[in-house]
Amino acid sequence: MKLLNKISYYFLVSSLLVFFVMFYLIYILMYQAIEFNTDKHLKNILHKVVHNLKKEKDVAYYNLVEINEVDSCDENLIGKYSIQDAKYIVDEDNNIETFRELVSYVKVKNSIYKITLRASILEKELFLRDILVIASISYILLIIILFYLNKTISKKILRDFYNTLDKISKFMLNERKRIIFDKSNIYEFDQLNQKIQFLIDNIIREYNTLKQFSDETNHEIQTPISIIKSKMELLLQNVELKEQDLCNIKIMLNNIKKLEKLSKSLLLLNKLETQEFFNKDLINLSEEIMSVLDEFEEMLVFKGIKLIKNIINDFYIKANESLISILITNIITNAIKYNVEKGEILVCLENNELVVSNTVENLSENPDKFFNRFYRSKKENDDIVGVGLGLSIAKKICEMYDFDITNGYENNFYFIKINFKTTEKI
Amino acid sequence: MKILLVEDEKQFANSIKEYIEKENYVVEIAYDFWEAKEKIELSNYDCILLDIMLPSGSGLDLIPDIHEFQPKCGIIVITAKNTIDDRVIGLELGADDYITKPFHLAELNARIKAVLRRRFFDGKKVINFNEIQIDIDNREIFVNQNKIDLTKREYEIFMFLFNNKNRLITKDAIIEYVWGDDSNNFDNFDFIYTHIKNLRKKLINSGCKDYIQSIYGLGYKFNEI
Repeated sequence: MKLLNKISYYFLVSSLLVFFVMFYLIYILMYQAIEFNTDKHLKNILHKVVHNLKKEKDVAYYNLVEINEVDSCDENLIGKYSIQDAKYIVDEDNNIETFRELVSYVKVKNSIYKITLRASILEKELFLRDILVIASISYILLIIILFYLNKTISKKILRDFYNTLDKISKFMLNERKRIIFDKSNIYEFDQLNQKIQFLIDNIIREYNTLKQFSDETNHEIQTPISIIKSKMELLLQNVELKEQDLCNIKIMLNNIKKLEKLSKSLLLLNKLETQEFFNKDLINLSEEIMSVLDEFEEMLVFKGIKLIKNIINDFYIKANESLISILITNIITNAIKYNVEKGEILVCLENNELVVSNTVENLSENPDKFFNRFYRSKKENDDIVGVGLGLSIAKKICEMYDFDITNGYENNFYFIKINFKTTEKI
Repeated sequence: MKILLVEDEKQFANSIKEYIEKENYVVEIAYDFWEAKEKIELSNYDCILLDIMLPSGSGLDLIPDIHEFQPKCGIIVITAKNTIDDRVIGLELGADDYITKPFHLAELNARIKAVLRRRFFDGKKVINFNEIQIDIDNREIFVNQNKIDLTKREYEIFMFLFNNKNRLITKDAIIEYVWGDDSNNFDNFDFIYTHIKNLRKKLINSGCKDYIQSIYGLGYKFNEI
């Protein structure tokens, strides 16, 4: 619900209440006023009638005056009067009309008269109905006015607010672009803009610091790694080392390599998050895949993995060449790494889709986790020099270009599917 | 051969020095920009290993100086950043080669040799070693004048081991040198065994001594015997 509508809603509900209380009060007050006036009028007539009776003048001048001589009546009633509503049928159609009726007993020259005076009065129900109609019309008018008022308000007053909202929703932290708000002449909105600007500036600054820190750390790590690596290599040249020592050095070197890879992968992920690869080229993906597969040929032969290719020719996409190379390499690497002895790899590029599947030993691991950073299969042993970032990087690259990347199991195969939604064919 | 190493990280510089000194080079180290500049202007070198990130300036700015004072000298740029920019600028300014940290000392050694050969053995680029002749330009190997039919990879592995004679070279280092950046994605280095086996077989079959020795599944060594 929009802010204005919400406000209007409350306003209308409460005004509905006020309206009807007000109109009911008006009804009561007005009706009482009318009654009071009618009664006063009746009392005046009563005076005249009594006066005329006493002077023995003709009293039948009103058709609504009834004078009957009565034999007796309660002494207490003489000289007093009572007024109440009375309904009478007034015509042949049985229409009932309400009258105000005054009844009084007067003693004139030893005879007692019962005087009944009637005055036509507005019917309560009719009166109430009219008031209700007026109230309802006013209320509808109020709604209509509010509707147009809201439109105008949101156009004129809330415009600044919606501008601000629009700017915030377009804000992307990794673009690190400051938001410049227009000056609002409404104090609250101006304050809001200022506070948001302050907040965003702070966020960008913190983000930059963090990124820089992470970048610098990863760069700084390279130096100690270089030194350790070089010293180990020197150590290796020592001819007096026993086999056990050499094996230990080998393990150390493997782990240093892991560190090296880790920091390089993190640097790459950082770069991807800050979108530092801008230039896009038209890439022949078919050729790119073939060349990556060529690079892995020896590895495949060594592991006895059978490669089945179904790659259409000259499929082009627009992206950064290095990133696409990394993407393809990571996916193929994955398919080799988690393959079984004498397994198979299927690489299939058609219909805008690249599907890489490989035989797997174990179908029980949840494939959703594979894209997580640092997720590594239990199958991995110490000899494998992986850090568990390959697929996260692949996913990040796909996200960057809006490619759909999915994975899962199908007929004893694990597959990764990339849909290059926006493709350019030549 | 006299080599100048410009590198601010002392321990790292010492490692490089220790490793390449075994090739009978005279190695001098400059730890910062100004020291390097002074040495370049005063002394003569055959090859300069130039780290770009120096505390007092960019190594790239030394390249014009090197060209002026050491026109015959080879330059290998060492970069810490894995950015293409530095490499391209370095090569454009006239560096002969580049290497990215962290690297294997064996790889640096091989690259120094390649640069020195290109610079100082102009004309006939044939290396003789016992019964082996290596034709660098055509990338061919002869044993007792008979050409050995080697694949591209086998030739590269042979050259890498040959350039690092008498040193234990890990499989990792060989793969990184021969397969380049792609090697980062190999999860297993054992496939190199097939290449080495074929290489040794080809060499031995043509009457070459078995120079290449396997060491505990860790790596290989080209023994001068």
